[in-house]
Amino acid sequence: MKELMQEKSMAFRIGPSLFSGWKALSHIPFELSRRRAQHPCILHRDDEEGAYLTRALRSCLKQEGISAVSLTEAMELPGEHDSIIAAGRGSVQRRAKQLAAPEIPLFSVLSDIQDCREAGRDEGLRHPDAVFIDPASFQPCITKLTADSALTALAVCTEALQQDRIHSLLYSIVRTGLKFLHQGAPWDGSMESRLCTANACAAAALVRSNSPPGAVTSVSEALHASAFCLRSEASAALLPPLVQAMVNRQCSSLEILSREIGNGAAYILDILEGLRKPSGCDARQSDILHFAFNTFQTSKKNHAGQILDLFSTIDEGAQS
Amino acid sequence: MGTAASRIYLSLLFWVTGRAVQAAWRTDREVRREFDRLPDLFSFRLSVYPSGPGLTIMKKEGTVRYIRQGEEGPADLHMMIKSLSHGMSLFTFQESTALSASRGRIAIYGDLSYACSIVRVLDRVEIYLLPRVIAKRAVKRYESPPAKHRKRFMIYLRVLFSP
Repeated sequence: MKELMQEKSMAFRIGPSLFSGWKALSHIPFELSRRRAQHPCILHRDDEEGAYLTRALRSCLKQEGISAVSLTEAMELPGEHDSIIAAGRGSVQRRAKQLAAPEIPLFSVLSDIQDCREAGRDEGLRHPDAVFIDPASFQPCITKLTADSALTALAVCTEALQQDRIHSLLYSIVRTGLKFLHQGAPWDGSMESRLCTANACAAAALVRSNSPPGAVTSVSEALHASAFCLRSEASAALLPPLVQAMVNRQCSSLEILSREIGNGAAYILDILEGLRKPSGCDARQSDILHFAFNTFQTSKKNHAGQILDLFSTIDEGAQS
Repeated sequence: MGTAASRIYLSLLFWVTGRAVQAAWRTDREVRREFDRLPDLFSFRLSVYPSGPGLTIMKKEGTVRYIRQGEEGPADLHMMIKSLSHGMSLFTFQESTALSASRGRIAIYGDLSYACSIVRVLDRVEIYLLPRVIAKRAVKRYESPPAKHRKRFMIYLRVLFSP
């Protein structure tokens, strides 16, 4: 019987404190005071999502008599601040991590739209001290974007399972991420499924901090950067062959997942199937597969072995 | 509910709960047993961060007293509710003390075993103060004490008229 890696020695980067659910933002004044901070600076995206998060944040701080300076990510930080609260996804979180000195508390306020990097260490930068996910601060639902975030989280979690030497701490977070994604179905834009997505993305960010990105994530990001398709479209196209490859080579982590829930591969594919429609990922799947195959089959850079392994599975599937 | 209204509601509730703990110590054997395990001169404070309403209970020379706000000193055990809105969730009985603690809404400064004793006392007091339907939501496990209605009457009398 296959077991998780015996932890004679291991490394695991513990992430931020996570406060999720209704009234999660109400934790912020206390958490600031615990870190001896009284003058936070709010850094937010200059869009609707940023506006919604900031409005909820300001009202919550005001209730406890804390005034905060509010800036968009392009602005320079003022001199007088003793903490940073970054509201929104992606670039604003990266900017806040770059700006925040190690001794300054950094908080992240996130919604259901994430890149699955925000709550963790992002390319060598620090992780936030605390992450707050409060449905009361979510903007009106854009189902496609939520499904997009969920697909990215699914890709990250599935890829972590691909490693045979996964240890039990990392496995438990992967499992938690997958559980949140499964709970989120059906992806109908309800607050419950959006909160599940946000939690799954936070779990995926922790997974990313502790596990190198695999073929699907690398290829998806490359295709996204080349503007050929969205990251989620690429993930949706590449995940089924990845899962098939894991089944073919009897991946031990997947077998352990199967022991817990029945059929691990079917569980992952179920989540994927539920996400396809709301994310609108069906249409260009074959195009994406061909483009990815042609572009990366000779790749000798990072993860060359994994990528070729994955694409040989795709190729066999295409020939059959 | 607005901030001012929440403060008034919580102040009133803390006053009733504080005096009810004092009354329950006189009336209920289980509550008395919990306090017997605590050391003499032990004080406990439950308050809302940062300067919200609160209650302080002190065990001194074998008796348990509710201390009015403003007259209290530093407490051996301080349970701090992190915000007014969290306090409202707890004291409008939308969630139990145990659930609130598990959601990280209460910060505890002091000995955790004493905190467990105090939570059991508060649960017992809530069972006396509240109707069954509401108390079931407020406590972890509802156990109807013997002679509940007689003791409830005594506790209410002592809350209102005892010095």
